[in-house]
Amino acid sequence: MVVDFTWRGWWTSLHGVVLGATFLLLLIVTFTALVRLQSTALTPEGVQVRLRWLKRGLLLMMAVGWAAIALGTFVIDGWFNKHTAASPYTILNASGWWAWQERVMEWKERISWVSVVLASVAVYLVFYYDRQLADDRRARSLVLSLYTVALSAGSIAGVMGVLLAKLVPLR
Amino acid sequence: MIIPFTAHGWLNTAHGVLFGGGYIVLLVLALVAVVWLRPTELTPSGLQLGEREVGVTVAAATAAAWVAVTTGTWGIYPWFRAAGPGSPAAVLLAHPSLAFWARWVIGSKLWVAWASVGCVTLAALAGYRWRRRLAAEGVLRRRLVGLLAAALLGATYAGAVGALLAKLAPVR
Repeated sequence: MVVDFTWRGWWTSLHGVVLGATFLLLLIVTFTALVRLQSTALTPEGVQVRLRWLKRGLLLMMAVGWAAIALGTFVIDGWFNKHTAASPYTILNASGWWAWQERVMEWKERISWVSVVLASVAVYLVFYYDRQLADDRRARSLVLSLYTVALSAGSIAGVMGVLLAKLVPLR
Repeated sequence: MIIPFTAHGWLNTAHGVLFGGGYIVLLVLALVAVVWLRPTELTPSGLQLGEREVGVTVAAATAAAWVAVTTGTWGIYPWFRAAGPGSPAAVLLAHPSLAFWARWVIGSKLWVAWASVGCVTLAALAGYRWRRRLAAEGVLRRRLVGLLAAALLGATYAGAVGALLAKLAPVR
């Protein structure tokens, strides 16, 4: 059976494959950049260069993350939860897979917000601490802890999205 | 309609999301590690750490690439091409507007993915061979970046085609 491409399918792919995956990738790359931002390992010039690139990466990550979550919450979730015969919501409830609708889809949305909001707080802290991050181990640990939760939540949301897209693709 | 999970579907997901996705993440980390291995920006201990990071990320990316491409070529591809009316290839060939996906696109995905694995393996061998000169010689680093960037381009193409094929005609 062919699941033909529809414009809703394209939007879902844009949300998950392009924006969601890029957000996670940028989270991982900026996380490792933050881990390496230490004055013991970098010269003053190195700190300056890395911070400049880190800030650019963080701004891009935020833009992509907010675009992914806005598209998911206000567009795709609306299609998913429509009470029409062909919507994933109706199909899951009618087939005895209601837990996927009630738990997985709802939780995916919540933890995605947790991920993007925590990542935004971490980005704010990077701009707030700026060069101090390279010297202040406690500040770096605070930012990295927020990052770890954001990355874990984002990864779980991504896996849930992949499984939902496989189980009941949006048309 | 629900498309239930099957063993083939799980392996397909592991191939694409876990191994393929992991490969792309590790490739990006390896690229960043090589680009940032600049002696002017690193202290002696930072340089040592940076060299180790290049070695670990390039080796991990190469391992992930080989796992992804072997599961894809010898695990998923035969199911995709299996004889019989239910296989994804047969389903696509039955639709004139979609037949080129089974004739050209899946083949190109396979070859591009292997080219990507070739590039990253070459980068790993070159990186290991000239590991002591990598930080000091910008030309070597740029060549390594070129190989890794080519591998990333190939992996992204293969990943995008894989995601579209998984939507269009999922392996069951």
